[in-house]
Amino acid sequence: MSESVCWGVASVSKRNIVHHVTRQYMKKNKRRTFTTFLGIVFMVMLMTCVFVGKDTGVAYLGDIAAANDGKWHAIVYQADKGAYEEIKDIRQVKETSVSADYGCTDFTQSANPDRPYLQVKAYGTKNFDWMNIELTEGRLPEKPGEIILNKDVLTDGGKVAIGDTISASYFKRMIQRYDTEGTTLFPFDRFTLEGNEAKEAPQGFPYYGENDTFFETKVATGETATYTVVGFMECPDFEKSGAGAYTALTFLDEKTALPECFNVSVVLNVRHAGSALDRLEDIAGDWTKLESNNSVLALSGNSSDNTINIAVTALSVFFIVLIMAASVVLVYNVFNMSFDERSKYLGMLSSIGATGKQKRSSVYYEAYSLLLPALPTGFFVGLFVVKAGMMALKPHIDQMLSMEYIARLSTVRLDVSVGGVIATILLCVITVAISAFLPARKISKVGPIECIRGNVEQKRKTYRMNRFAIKRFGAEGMLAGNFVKREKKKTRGFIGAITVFMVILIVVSFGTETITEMVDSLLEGNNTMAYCADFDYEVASGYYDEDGAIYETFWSGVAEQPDVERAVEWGYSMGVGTMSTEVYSQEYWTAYRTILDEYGITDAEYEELRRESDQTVVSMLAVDEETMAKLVKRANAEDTYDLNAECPPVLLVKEGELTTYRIRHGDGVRANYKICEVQNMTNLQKGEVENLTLFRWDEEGEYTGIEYPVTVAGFVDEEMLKDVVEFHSENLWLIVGPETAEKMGVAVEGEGRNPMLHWSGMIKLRRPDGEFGTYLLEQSRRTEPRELYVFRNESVSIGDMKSAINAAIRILLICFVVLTSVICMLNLYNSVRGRISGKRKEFAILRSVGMTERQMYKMLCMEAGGILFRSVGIAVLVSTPLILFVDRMILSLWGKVGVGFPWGVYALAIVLAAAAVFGMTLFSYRMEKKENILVDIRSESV
Amino acid sequence: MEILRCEHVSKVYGEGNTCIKALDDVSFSVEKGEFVSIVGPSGSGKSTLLHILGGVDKPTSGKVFVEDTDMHGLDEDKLAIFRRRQIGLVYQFYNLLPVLNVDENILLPHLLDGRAMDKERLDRIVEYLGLTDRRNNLPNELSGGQQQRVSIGRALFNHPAILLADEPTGNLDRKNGEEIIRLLRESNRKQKQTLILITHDESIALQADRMICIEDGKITKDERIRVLGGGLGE
Repeated sequence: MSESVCWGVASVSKRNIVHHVTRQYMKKNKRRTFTTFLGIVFMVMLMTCVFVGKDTGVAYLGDIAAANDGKWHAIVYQADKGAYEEIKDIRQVKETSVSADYGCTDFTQSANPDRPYLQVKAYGTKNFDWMNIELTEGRLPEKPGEIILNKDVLTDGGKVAIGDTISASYFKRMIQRYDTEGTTLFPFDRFTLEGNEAKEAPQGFPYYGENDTFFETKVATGETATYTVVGFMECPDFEKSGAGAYTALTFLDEKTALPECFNVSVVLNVRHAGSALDRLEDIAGDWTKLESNNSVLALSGNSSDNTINIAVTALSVFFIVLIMAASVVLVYNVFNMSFDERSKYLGMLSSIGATGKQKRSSVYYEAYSLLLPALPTGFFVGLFVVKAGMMALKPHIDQMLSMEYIARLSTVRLDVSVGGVIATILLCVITVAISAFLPARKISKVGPIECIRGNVEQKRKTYRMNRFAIKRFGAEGMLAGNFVKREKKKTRGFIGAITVFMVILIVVSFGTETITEMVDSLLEGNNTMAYCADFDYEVASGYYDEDGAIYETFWSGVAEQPDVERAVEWGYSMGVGTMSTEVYSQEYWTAYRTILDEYGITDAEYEELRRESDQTVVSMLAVDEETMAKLVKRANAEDTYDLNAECPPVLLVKEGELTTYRIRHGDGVRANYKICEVQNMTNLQKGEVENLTLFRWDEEGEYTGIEYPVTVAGFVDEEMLKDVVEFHSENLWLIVGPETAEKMGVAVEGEGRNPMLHWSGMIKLRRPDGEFGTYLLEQSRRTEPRELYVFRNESVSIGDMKSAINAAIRILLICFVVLTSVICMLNLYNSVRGRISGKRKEFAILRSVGMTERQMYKMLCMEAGGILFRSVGIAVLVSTPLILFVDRMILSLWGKVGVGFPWGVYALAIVLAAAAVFGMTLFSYRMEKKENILVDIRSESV
Repeated sequence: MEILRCEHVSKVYGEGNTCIKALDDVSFSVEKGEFVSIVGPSGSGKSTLLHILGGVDKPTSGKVFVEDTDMHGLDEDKLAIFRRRQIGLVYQFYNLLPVLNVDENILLPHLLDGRAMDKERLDRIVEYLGLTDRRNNLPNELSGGQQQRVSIGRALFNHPAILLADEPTGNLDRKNGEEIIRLLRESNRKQKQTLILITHDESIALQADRMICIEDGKITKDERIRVLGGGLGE
C-alpha cells in the first residue's frame, strides 16, 4: 500500500465516514442543500426579528419620547448641595447633571420688539444632550463665560455673531395692573393679576410693551456677567411660543460655580425607576419640585403598573412560542422534502453496516452544519429586515403617535442586546434539534432494502381507477387526485405548511385582537368615556379654573376665530342622578356577580348587596343638536324622540363594561384584573317611561333628589356611537340633546346651564396649521396643571404614559402578525417550490406522453384546490379548539372581553391561503426551469 | 407507404471548442408497418436520433416528417398533441407515473386526448400484456418486466403511427427481455404497427425488417435483413 493511500484512509476515518458521505451528498445535491439552508436562515432571521425587532421597536418609541421630552428621567428643582449628594447616593441613579436658571437680562442686539430679553440658563455638560440641544452653528459652551443663543435671534434680524460679547445684568420681570380693582387673566401662562399687586412674570411670559391694563418693571437681582457668544442652537422644546425672551444657555461648572439653588437632572437605571422616584420625591420634599419624564421611563421598559409588564411579557412569550412552532414546521418540512434521497444513501450505508445511531447522526450533522453558517447569515438578514421594516413603518408610527412634527428623529437605531443574541442562538439550536428529531428517528428505523428501493413512503396497497373522477374531471382531475391521495406523506408537508399558515394567521389575529382589547380596557382604567367625534380639539376647564370662568371667557371668543369651522359644547356627568336597579338586565347581574366573585364574595353577601342597592347611579352625556339628530336617526328613534313630550326623551347606551378596576368590594383591595362586557345593560323597552332622580347639591353640600321621569326614546350601541363617543363604564348612560339637558338644568337649578355636567368645547378647524391651530397644538402639548386643558383629538399624547404603552403594544402586535404571516408564507412557498421541483420528472413524463401546457396548469390548479380543501378542513379543526381555549383562558383570567368568534379572520385566512397556494403553485411551475424533456426525465428530485 | 422521413437531421450539443456533434446529417425514411432496428456503439447518437423522431428532443438542423407532418415545425402544444396521437415511446427505464396504477398509466395518453375511456380496448391490452391480476397496482409494486409491459401498453393504446423503443430490454433479464421483444414484434406483425427499436443486442436487431447502423452520428449502414425462417417471436 502506498503512503498516499494510507494518508487518505486515515483522514477519512478521522473525519467520521457517515459525516463524510453526508457532506458529499450535500455537495452533490446543491439545490436541496440550499433549500434546507434557506429554511434555517429564515428561522434564524425570524428569531432575530423577534428579539431585535421588539427591542428596536421599543427603543425607537423611547427615542421618540426622548426627542420630544429629553433623555432625562427626572429633575429635582431647587435642590441644594446636600440634596445633590443624597441624589447621587441613590443606588438606581446612573447619571446626574445640574442646571440653573439665571433669569432675564436685556438683549440690546435683538431686532424683534416683542422679544427684548434673553432668558439665561446654565447647563452642566450632560444637560445639553439630555435636553436635545441642537447646534446650528458654532459649538457648545465649555466654560461659564460662554453662551449659545436661540437661532431665532438671527432669523428675526438680530445683530449678533459668534465671538460677540453680551453683558448681562439680571433682573426679575414684574407685572402690575394700573387699576387697583379687578383681575386680569393670562389663561395659557397660569398667571393672574389681581388689583395692582406686582407679581413676577413666569418664564416664557410674552412681552406686551405699553398697554392700558398693566405694565412691566424690572427688579435687578444684582447678578451680572459677561458672555462670549460661541454658537447658535435650534429653538429648544421648552421655550414657549410668543415668549418675550430668547433662550440662551451658558455652561455650569458644578465643581467650581455651583449656585446655592439649582436643579438636578437624573438618568436612572430604568429597571428600578419606581422606587428611585419615590426616594427623589422624598429628597425634593414636595412633589411639585420633582418632574419625571414618564413617557421615556415607560418606553424604557419600566412601568409602575405591574399588570402591563405582565401583559407585555405574556405577549412576547405568546409570539415566541408561535414563531418557534412555525419554524419547527418550516425546517421539518425542508428535511422531509429530501427524505427520499437521504433514505437512499443512508440505506446504502446501512447495508454495509451503519447503525441506527449513525444514520440519525447524519441528519443531525446536516442540520447543524447548515445551522452554523445560517446563524450569522440569518442574524444579519434579520437585522436588515428589522431595520428596513422599522424604516418602512416609521412614517406610520410617527403618524400614529402624532410625532410627525419631530423632525430630528430621522433614523431608527438597531437595539441589539447580548441577551437577545444568546436567546436567538439558543432557540435556533433547540428549534433545529426538534425539527431534525422526527426525520432522524424515522430514518434510523427504516431497513436498508426499503431505503435503497425508495419505497419507504409507500405502503403495499392497491388502488382502483376512479372512473367517476375521470369522467367528471378528465385526465387532469385523475392525475391531480392521485397526486394528492397516493403521495400522502409528500402531500402532508404541503398541507402542513398551509395549515400552519392558516392556523397561525387565525390564532395570531384572534390573539392580537383579544390582547389589544384587554390592553385597551386595562389601560383605559377609570377612563369611562372618551370623545371620538370628528373634532380637532377639545377644550375644558383646567386645574386652576375652579368656577369655570376662564373656560367661559375663552369659549366665548372661539366661534369668532377665522380658522374655526365648527364649535359646539358637550357636557357629561358620571353621576347625574339615580334609577331603580330593576332597570338592569339579567346579563348585567351575571357580570356583576362574576366581578364580585373575584373578591371572594359569598352567596349570602351577594344577596344582601342586591337587597340593599335598590337605586343605581346613572351617567349622562349631552351633545349638540346636530349630533343628537344623527344618533336618533341611527337608533331608529325618530318616532319616539319627541322633544315636546311630558317626559323628555333620552337615548340609552346598550353596552356596558364591568371591571375590577371600577367595582370594588370588601376592604377595597383590588382583585386580579377582570373584565366583563355586557351587551344589554337594561330591560327597559323603547317608549317606556322611567323615573330618574336627578341630584341637586345645595351650598352646604347636602343632596336632594328631584324626580324627573324620562322617556326611553331608543338605544344606541357601540357601532352607532363609534364616531361620537366611546364608553367603558359600568353605569347606565343616557344621551340627551341640548334641549333636554337645559330642561334638566332648569329642574335642578331653576335656570342656566345644567350644573351637574362638565362642559367641554369641541373645535373643528378649517386650517389646523393656521395661527389658532398652532396655538391649540402648543397648548395641547403642555402637561402641567393649568387653567384650561386643550386635548388634541384622535392622537395619542406622548405625555400620557399609558397611551404610549398602548401604542407601543399595538405596533408590536402589528409587526408580529406581519412577521409571522411572512414566515408562514415563506414556509408555504418553500413547500410549494419543493413539491414542484420534486415532480420535475413526472412533469417531463407527462409532457412526453402528450400533455399540453394548458392541461398541466389545469392539473396543477386542481391539485392545489384539493390540497387547499383538505388544509382548510384541518386548519378549521385545529384553529377552533385553539381559539376556544384562548377564549376560555381569557374568560377565566380576565373575564369576558368583547371579541366575537373571528368568522371574518377565518374567511380572510382561507382567501389568503387560496391566493397563496394557487399563485405560488403556478409561479413555481413557471419559475422551474423547463429543460429539454429528456434532461428532466433523467433529473433527480430535490 | 412512407410513414416517416428524416431529412438531413443534425444535433449539436454545446458551443465552440466543447461542441459535440451527436448526429451529423442523418437522412432516411421508414415505410408503414416496417420494423427497423437501430444499432451502434454507446455514444453513437442512436438514442438522440430516436428522441428526435419521438418529438421529445429537437434537431439542431434538418426536418422530421411523420405522415407528411413536419414535427418540429409545430408549436409546443401542437407537438404535445401530435406526440400523444401519433407517437408511442418506450424507454429503457419505463418512466411510468408512480401515482398511477397499471390501468391509469396505460390509459394516460388516451385520457389526455380528452377521449372517453375505451374499457374493452383497455381490457384487451391488459390481457394481451399479461397484467390482468396487476392492474390495480402502482408501478413500484411491479417487476421491471411488468413495468416495461405497462410502458408498451401506454405506447400502443392510441394506435400511434410509429412506436419508438429505446433499448426496451436494457434493464431486464434475458427472459423478460425476450417477452418484451415478442410483444413488440407481435404488435408490428399483427397490427401493422411501425416499430423503430434501439438495441445493443444483435440477436434482437436481426429480428427487424431493416437495420440501421450509426457511428459517430452518421448512418454507416442501412440494410434490409433477409428473414431465415421464423424469428424469436414466432
